[in-house]
Parts: sequence; structure tokens; C-alpha cells
Amino acid sequence: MDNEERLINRARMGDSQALGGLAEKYAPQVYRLAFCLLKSEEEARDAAGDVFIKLYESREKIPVQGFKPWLMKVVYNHCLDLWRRRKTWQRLLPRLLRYSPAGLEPDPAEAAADADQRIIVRQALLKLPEKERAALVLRYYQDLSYDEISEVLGVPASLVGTWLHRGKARMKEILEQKG
Amino acid sequence: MQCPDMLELSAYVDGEMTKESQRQMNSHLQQCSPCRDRVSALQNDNRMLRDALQGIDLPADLGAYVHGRLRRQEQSWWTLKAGVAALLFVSGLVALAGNWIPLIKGLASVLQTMLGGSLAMQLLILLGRFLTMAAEQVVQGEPLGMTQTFIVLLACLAGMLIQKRKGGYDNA
Repeated sequence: MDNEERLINRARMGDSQALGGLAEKYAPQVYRLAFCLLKSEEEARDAAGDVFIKLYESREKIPVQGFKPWLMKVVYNHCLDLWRRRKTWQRLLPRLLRYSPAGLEPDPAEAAADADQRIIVRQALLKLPEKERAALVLRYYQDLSYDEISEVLGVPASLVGTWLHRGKARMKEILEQKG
Repeated sequence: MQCPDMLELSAYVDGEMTKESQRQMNSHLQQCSPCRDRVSALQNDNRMLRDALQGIDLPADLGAYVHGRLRRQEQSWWTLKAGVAALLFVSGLVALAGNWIPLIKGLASVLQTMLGGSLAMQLLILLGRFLTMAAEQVVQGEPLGMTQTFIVLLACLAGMLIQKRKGGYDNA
């Protein structure tokens, strides 16, 4: 049994230190996926907190095997819920809540550092449709396999390949238009 | 082998092909320079994407924020359990201060009306055992589960309702 499995087993039994250990290891990954999906630093930070509270509340359901894809599914579903809520609010109060996603528009610091290729690529990624964006992050940041991504997104693995390919092609178009 | 399309090449670069397809692709790439260039471009795109994603800045207080929320959640959870334990304790004292026998008789008569004699008795014994076990658990400082807490609260509520309906223990 490796360290992570031991940590998960302890967290399942209600050891809050073990859960803290998992949070320490995975909070950056949870945050980055949430950021790419929600396009907002503040909401991504809140989402990271929410996800680990969810883990605490249903700790006996944490799987020992395949923890990372399972965690990413929790993050993805949580972000979907936030999206739906956000859309409802936008529909109900269009004037009050004219939403401008923080991550989409470059902030002054990002604009100044526009020459940084990574920022340009990230901005192109944030312009993709939600499913393609999620698939790209899960594959190229979280290193999940097509099967694991299909499990997270709830679609066939063959579609994952298509989304990844289409997402990258679309990103290229955006980057070419920009530069 | 014909030149594969970009979707196949993408799956190859991602290591998502079957062993057989991978072997065929390897031998094709040895002979086809345009496909080798495409593979190399795809690898480059993937590397660029990885770099961009790994470079997303984290909030400076992310770790502290998540730990803080976990700590607060744990504290509120224990406060709730302590509240339930206190309620159980107080209910026990109230019950002991009154008269146990009429309370049980009241409960038995309600159950008997609802379920019939022997089943009511079995249920009452089961509930008695359960409450004793829950009380032992609380005394030993072990937390009660959600279901246990719910049954204990339900039992307390039933006791109080019966008491009210019968006009107090003495009149039961």
C-alpha cells in the first residue's frame, strides 16, 4: 500500500489530518481545473474549498483506487452546478449581474506580459467551449487517460478523442488570428 | 498503410492506441516524413498546452483557505454532535425524573394500536436496545452516526408526544 492509499484510508475513517494531507497535495490541481472551467480566480478558490468540504462530508465514499479521476469528477460536477446557478442568476437579473468572467479578459498584469506564450495559450483555451476545455485540461494537465476522462465527463471515450483534437484545432485558429 | 488522419495521429501521440495499431503506426512513421512532421507538431502543441496549464498561478492563500474551511467544517460537525449528545442527556434526565413505566406503557399502547401486540413488543425491545447502545456510545465519547442520531431524536420526540397526549407521565 503506497502513501496515498494510506492517506485515503485514514481520511475515510475520519482522520482530518489525512484529509488535510490530500487537500495539500490536490488543492492546486483542483483549483486549476476549476479555474479553467469557471474562468474566475475567486470562484475557483471557493470551488476548491467546497470540493474538500464535500470530501469531508462524504469521506466514506472516497475510493482508494482511482482517487484522482474520481476527485476530478467531483470538481467537474461541482463546477457544472455553479455554472447552472450562474446562468439562472444571469437570466433572472440580467442587468444587475451582467457577468464578465474574470479569467477571460486579461488583467493589466497579464496584458503587460502578453509576450508570454503561456498566457496567450491559456487565453485561447479559455475561449473554447466548456466540454473541449474540460477535456484538454483533464488530459494535458491532469494526465488522465481517455477512458478516465470519459468517466469524468460522462461521454464515450471515442468522443473524448474528438473533443481533444477539435479543441486543439480551435485553439490553433484562435492563436493564428491573434498572432 | 495509408496516411492516418489527424485524429488517429493525436491518439497515437497521446498513447491511446491499441498495441497493434501503435505498431502499425510506428512502421508507417518510419517511412512517411510528412506524418512524422505532423506527429512532431502535435507533440509540440501538447507541450505548449501543458506548460500553459502548469503555469496557472495559484492564489497565495489557497492552502490556508482550504485548510481553514476544513477546520471550520469539522468544528461545526462536532458542535452538532455535542448538541445531539446534550439533548439526549437532557431527555434522559427528564425521562428519569418522571416515571419510566408509564412512558413505556404509553409507547407500547400506541405501537400496539398501530401494529398489533407481538410486533409492538418486539419493536419496543429493539428500540430499548438501540437507545441503550447509543447512550453507551455517547458516554464512551464515541460520535453517533447520522442514522443513530435520527432514531434517537425520533424516539425522544415520540416520548414527548406521548407524554403530551396522555397529559403527563402520571396520567398515562
